[in-house]
Amino acid sequence: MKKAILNKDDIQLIAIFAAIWAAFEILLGNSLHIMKIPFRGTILTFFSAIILIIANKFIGKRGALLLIASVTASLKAVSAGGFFIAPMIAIIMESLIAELIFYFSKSNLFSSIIAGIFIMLYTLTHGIIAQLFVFGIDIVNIYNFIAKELSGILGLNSANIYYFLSFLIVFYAFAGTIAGILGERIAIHTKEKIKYLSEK
Amino acid sequence: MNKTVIKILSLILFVSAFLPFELSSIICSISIFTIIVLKPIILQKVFNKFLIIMILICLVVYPVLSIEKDSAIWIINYSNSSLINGLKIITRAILILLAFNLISIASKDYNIKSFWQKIGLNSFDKIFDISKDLLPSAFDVIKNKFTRNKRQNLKNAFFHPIHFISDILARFIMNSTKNHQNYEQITMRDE
Repeated sequence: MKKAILNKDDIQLIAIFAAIWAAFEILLGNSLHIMKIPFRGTILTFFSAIILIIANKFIGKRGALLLIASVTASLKAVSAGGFFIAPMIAIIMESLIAELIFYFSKSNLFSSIIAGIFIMLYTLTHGIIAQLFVFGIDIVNIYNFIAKELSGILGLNSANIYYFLSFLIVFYAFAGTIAGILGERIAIHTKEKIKYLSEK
Repeated sequence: MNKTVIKILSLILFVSAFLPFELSSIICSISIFTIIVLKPIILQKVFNKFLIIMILICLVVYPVLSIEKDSAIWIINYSNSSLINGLKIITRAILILLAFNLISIASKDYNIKSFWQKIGLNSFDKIFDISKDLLPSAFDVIKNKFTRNKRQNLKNAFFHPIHFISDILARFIMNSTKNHQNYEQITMRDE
C-alpha cells in the first residue's frame, strides 16, 4: 500500500465509494430491517467487504479505507438522525480489518480473499463481543446451560454443538472468500468498463 | 431535559453497571422508575424482543431448570443462586442499554465532523461534503437498476453479478467525477 498523501482524484474516489457504501447501508439495511430478514448484519457485511476490496483496488493508499468508513458511518448517522453505536462500530471495524490486511500484504486476489474472510468472521464475533459487553461474562454460563439442556432434549451430544460452531466458521469463511473474489473481479471489470466508456 | 444532564445520567448508568450488584440493582430500579415518569418511550427501545427473551431465560428458565433447587414459589422449585445470577446479568444489561439509548438521544444533533477531526482525520470535512452531495445520485442509480426493467435487471444481477455491479459502479464513478469537475470549474469561474 502507498503512503497516505491524498491527491484530488483520491479524495474524489474516497467520496464516491463512501457515498456508494452509505447508499447500500441505508437502502439495503432499511429494506432488510422492514422485511425482518434474519442475518441482516451478515448480508450487509458481505456487501461492505466487496465495496472495501473494490475501493482498495481503486485507491490503494494507507488510511483511505478508514476515511471511507468514517464518512459512511457519519452519513448513516445523519440519515438515521442519531448516533447508533453498534452499526458505527461495525463499519469502522470492517474497514480497520481491511486496512490492516492491505497494509501488511500486496493488493492481489489472495489478500482480497483474506480480507473478505476476516471481515466476515468479524461479523460472527461482533454479536458475541456485544453480548459479552452488555450481559457480562456470566452469560457464557447461561448459554452453556441452554446448550446442554437443548442437546439433552434433542438427543445430541456436546460434540454436535462444536460441529455446528465449526460449520458456522467455515460458512462465514466461505462467504468471505466469495466476497474477496467478487470484489477483486468487479474492480477489474469496473476499471475496464471506465476505460471503455472514456474512450467512447 | 438538558443534553448535559442526559450525558451525565448516561455516564452514571454506565458506571453503575460495573458496581457490586447491591448498588447497581438500586440504581437500576431508581432509573427505570425515573424514566417511566420522564420519558417512557426510552423503555420501549430498551425492552425489545431480544431483551425480553433474555429476561425469560435468565429469570425463569435458568433458575427453574438448574439442578440445585433450594427455594420454592408455591409448587415451583427453583435455584436461588441461579436467580440472583440471572438478576445480576439482566440488571447490568438494562443499565448499559439505558446508558447507550440516553447517549444516542443526547447526540442527535452532535457535530460528527468535529468528532472525526478531533481524532485526526483532517480531510474528513471535504470528503464528507462531496459524499453528501453524491448520496442522492447513488440512491437513484441503485433504485433505478431495480425499478426499471425489474425482471431483466434482477436476472442480470443473479446470473451475471460481476458485469451488473461493475456497470453500475463504472457509470456512477464516471458521472460523479464529471459532475464534480464541472462544479469545480463553475465555482472557480464564479470566484
